[in-house]
Amino acid sequence: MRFGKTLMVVGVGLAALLLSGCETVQPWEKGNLADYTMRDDRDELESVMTAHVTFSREASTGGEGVGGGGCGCN
Amino acid sequence: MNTLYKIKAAFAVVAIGFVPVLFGEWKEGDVLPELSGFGLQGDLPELEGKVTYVDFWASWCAPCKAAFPEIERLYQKHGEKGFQVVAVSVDSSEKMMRRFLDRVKPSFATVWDEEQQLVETAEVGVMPTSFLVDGEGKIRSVHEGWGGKETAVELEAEILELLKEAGR
Repeated sequence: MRFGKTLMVVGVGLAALLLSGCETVQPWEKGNLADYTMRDDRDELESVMTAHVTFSREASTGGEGVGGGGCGCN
Repeated sequence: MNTLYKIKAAFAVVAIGFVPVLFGEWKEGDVLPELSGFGLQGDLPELEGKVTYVDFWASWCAPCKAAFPEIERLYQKHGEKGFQVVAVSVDSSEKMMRRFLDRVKPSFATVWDEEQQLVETAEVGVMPTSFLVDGEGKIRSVHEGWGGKETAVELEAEILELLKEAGR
């Protein structure tokens, strides 16, 4: 009985470790993160639609990006 | 076999499995493994008796690319004295690697670690990481990152010392 419990605890612990889905990205694999397919704004139409829906829902507009011309004077 | 013993044995197996992970990385004093055993694509030069600079780089890594002109300069300057370079690309895309190499056209050896087996064995902590190997195949220094001219000066001093040691 006691063995069964121990085995279950060990089993659950191992399952939690193995099935957690965590993955360490090694330094040499970081190119995958820089890939175009990893960008969440790669579909321009979808980005526009998402912004439209967000601004309509939140009754706001112009809430994304950075204002100004980049001169740092605004 | 008693149950406790079985559990202990299972933990021992897991712990032993972690040993190469903890101590697998290449460090100063280690002997450079035979590079031909890692499925590298490209021509590997003869390493025996030469001071070799093994550089892990990638086309998506800006400091790695910034190091190329200095490495080329060092290779041009000391190549005839017995200094050579093996630049190992860890790119997953051959196209991206070729695009950079076609633009820079290095005269030293470049190979592609397509399966990323070699870099996994070396367990580099940052990109770029390079290893300076003496004529006897022993890793004499490890360079992590690229600090521009400062790193180049430091590297050249080390190369000269190793060449002197090798009687070249």
